Amino acid sequence: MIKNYLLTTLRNLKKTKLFALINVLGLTLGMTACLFILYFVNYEKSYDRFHENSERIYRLRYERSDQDGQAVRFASCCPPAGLRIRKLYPEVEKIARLFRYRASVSHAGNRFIEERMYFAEADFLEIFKYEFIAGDAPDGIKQPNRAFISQATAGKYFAGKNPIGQILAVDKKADYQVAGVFKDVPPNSHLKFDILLSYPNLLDLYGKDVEDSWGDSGWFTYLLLKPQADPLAFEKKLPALVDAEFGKVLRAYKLTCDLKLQPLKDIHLTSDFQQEYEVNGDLDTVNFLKVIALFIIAIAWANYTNLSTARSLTRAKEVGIRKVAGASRGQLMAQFILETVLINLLAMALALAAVKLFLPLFGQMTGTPMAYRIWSQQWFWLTVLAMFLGGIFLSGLYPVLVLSSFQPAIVLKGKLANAARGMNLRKFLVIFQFVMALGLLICTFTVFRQISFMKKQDLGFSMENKLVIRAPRVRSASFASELQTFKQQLLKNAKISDFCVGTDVPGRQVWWDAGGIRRVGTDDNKNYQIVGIDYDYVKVFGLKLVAGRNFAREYPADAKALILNETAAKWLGFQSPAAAIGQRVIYWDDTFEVVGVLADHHQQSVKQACEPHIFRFLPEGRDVRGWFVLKLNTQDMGSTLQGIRQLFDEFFPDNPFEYFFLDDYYNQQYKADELFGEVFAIFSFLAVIVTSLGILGLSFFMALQRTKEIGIRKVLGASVLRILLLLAKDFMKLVFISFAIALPLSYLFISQWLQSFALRTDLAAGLFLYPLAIVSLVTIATIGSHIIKAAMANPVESLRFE
Amino acid sequence: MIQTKNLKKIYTTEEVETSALNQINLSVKEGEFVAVMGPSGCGKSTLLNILGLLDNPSEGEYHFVGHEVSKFSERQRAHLRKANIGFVFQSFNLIDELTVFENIELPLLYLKVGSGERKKKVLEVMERMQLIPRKNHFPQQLSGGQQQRVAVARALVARPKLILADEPTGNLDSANGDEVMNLLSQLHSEGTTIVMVTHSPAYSEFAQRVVHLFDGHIVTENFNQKFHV
Repeated sequence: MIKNYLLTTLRNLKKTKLFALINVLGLTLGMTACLFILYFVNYEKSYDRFHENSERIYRLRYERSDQDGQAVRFASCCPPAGLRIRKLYPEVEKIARLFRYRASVSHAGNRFIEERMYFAEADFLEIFKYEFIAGDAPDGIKQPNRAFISQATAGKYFAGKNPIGQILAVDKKADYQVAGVFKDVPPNSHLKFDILLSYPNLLDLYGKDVEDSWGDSGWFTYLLLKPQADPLAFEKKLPALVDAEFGKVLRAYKLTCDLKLQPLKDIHLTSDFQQEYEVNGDLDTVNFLKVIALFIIAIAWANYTNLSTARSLTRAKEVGIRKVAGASRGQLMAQFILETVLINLLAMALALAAVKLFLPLFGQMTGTPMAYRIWSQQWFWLTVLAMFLGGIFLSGLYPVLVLSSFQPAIVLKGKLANAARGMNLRKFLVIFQFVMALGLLICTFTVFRQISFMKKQDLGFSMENKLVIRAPRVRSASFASELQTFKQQLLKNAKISDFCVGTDVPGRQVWWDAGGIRRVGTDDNKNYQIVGIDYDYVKVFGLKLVAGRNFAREYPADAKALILNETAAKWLGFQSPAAAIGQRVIYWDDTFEVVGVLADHHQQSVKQACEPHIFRFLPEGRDVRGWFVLKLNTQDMGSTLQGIRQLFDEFFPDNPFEYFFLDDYYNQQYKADELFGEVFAIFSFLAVIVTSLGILGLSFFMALQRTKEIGIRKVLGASVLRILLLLAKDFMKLVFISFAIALPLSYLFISQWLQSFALRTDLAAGLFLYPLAIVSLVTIATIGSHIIKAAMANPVESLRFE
Repeated sequence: MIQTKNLKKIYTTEEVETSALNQINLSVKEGEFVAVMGPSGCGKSTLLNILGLLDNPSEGEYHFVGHEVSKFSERQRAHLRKANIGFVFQSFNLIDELTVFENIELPLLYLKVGSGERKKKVLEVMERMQLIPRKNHFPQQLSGGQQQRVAVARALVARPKLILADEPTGNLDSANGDEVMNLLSQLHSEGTTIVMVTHSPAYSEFAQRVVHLFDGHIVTENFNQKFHV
């Protein structure tokens, strides 16, 4: 029996190749798209779940607000909180602090800037069990001057050598002995590090009292709660701790300060605070993609239902014959379910092949690493199974019911009245597909319009032709004069028109955040972002002065002068930029005079509103932090860069030469939005294709069903064109109904999405009309060929049906 | 074998009620060959559908091999049908995707006959219908007469008590038509009960009895003298 079913199915598929192709293709596309989206979604959700105790690990973070409720929210914590909690709260099993330290690290001739290096307390390796492949962790980290490095880092510095016992020089100031090598931290960790240094050395570096300040931030603090501990109850005890330790100061400055617990596994998708290690994922995007995945597979299933019921017309006779030959309804259902199973199986096999084929491309596009092995993920196979079973039952059930219900007495006479049933369902399904396709297209257009709008904005500074070099960290005692000579030498080169120094450059989040700043005579303390600049910074970046003056050599007192941006002037309570000039500001118990106000510029993406910046005169950077900015006037980057590098190496020999071009760097900020747009574009393209497959099936069905009507109309004198219009009208009606549904839904959605941008594009009519035009054109193109065929057919052919 | 009492079939649409069969009282004995004649739309096919358990009457009784089946469900009818009735249609109604052998095999599959016995029975009937050389052909590769022979073979293969033929010669030229009628006649002589709808007075001569339908009524019943000497 099964053999007979299989034979019929296979021969049937062979006979109706186009139908089979459309059906399988539609399902394959839907399944592939769905699997890819879920791949991305599950990767994002997999962050940090591989840790043994991930359920019990929390990150402690720190927030500080002024009396107006303006808050700075840090991903890190103040240094003493961890120390006190360790002593006071028994529900905390372990607690460990990390301090990020970017430095120039060298071994023999190998020299690199290490961005992902941390001083780590010993318990860090107890809370997080990383796999060590050499050395004596975690005990070794209790010793001073020990370094633990990743496998990749070991390869970078000690290729071919045993790294254990080797020495790494950090900023040429301290030597660390490599005591352990761990497997590279998996990419789905919110915290990625290459080097861990013994914590005691941090205190050597900055002094013991560096740990004392409750007003400071930068200490990433992780705690492992005991299994029975209630994290909410524990978090509620923290305000009392803050009050006991820091309450007096907070009251004096009219500030409040909070400690917050973040569950480890939520960090990647929900955390967006200052000082994050890297830009985290976004839960909204992930949830939204999940919905899209569901929609796409639903579109594909709707397609299958549509095509299969449409095709039931051509199968009606077979059903009749089988019934006459003795088939029960159950047997017929079994046959058609088997068919559905086969088609779904085929589509699934193709989808899996497509996933395998396009995975590297997709990974590259979305930044999901190959190390995350899709084939060994439980969710993946569960999804495959669910999609397979869901496809069979949700998309196959209705056609099976329709097919097996045909009355032989009717269908064997060639009457298809019965098959007209379900027309409304088919129309509904097509409307559903159109709505999805239109919605996705509208979103795609909006995302791209917003991105291009943001890129076209006047940022308030110029980023063209700016080469940015990391300022040297390893400095000699005569650094200031070396810098002057270096600058003079550079400017001799005609291809370099300008040079300046700053602690941060536009396009980077300003790292230096200072609280407790207020106007003399007020007690309204707020947090400001501080940028240290030299005389030329304003000129090099083309920043506009709206009041006062720039720092200048003829004012030797400028070390105690400040330049504000407009937002900072407002925050300090000045009525106008001009009113700020000459006024005095308390900055960390010292008094500064405001000498100028700059127009606001977009430090980061125009997504964010302008923040309050205070510029200080620090011509050599701050400590070891800073950037050299060179304005180039040449197209010949290669040789210019070579010359600059030679000069840098000559002046600052112990420092790696690290650089970037500001415009490239700045535009990277839009990467996430562009990715969002690309994902939308790809999936809306797929949705349109799958939908057009559905229309193809439906129009085939309609033309077949109306063959007689077409014949009669033609006999009565209707022209081919009139018949074309008649048939096309039906579909266009569906398109317009769908548009009417999609319009308000997508309007709501995109307005919501645009809310996350400080500057928003307007919702031009084109955003909605182009998708309508695209869907209409695709529809007409899809249905055109067989409507024309039906309309041109000899009426005798169609009337002979009766 | 067949007995109907005041059989009625009414088709109802939203506005119109059409009576297709009215007060049909018909009995067919085992081994009988009955032809049903009448103009288009007189209810011949409707009657055959009801007799063949493809449809239920609106009113009246229908006794088939001892069961009152007029109120049977689709499932019950299917069950009774597959064991007892073979169908032959004007348009052959073969499944295009199946070969000659597979088409004939179909009723045995649904009767869950084991594969060895199935093969034996199919080959037997194929031999009888001279279809062996066509075993692996598909319907489209056969002439109309050959297709109808396949359809008859399929109707026969499960050895049904009753064969219902709905204008079996309607789509055939006279040579092929004659061949099919000779076949049916031969089956009848071997004891199979046959009810056949036909437009052809000549072919109705093959039947023992001719029932004339008009507007849903039986108007006359003639006995063929040939069989009643």
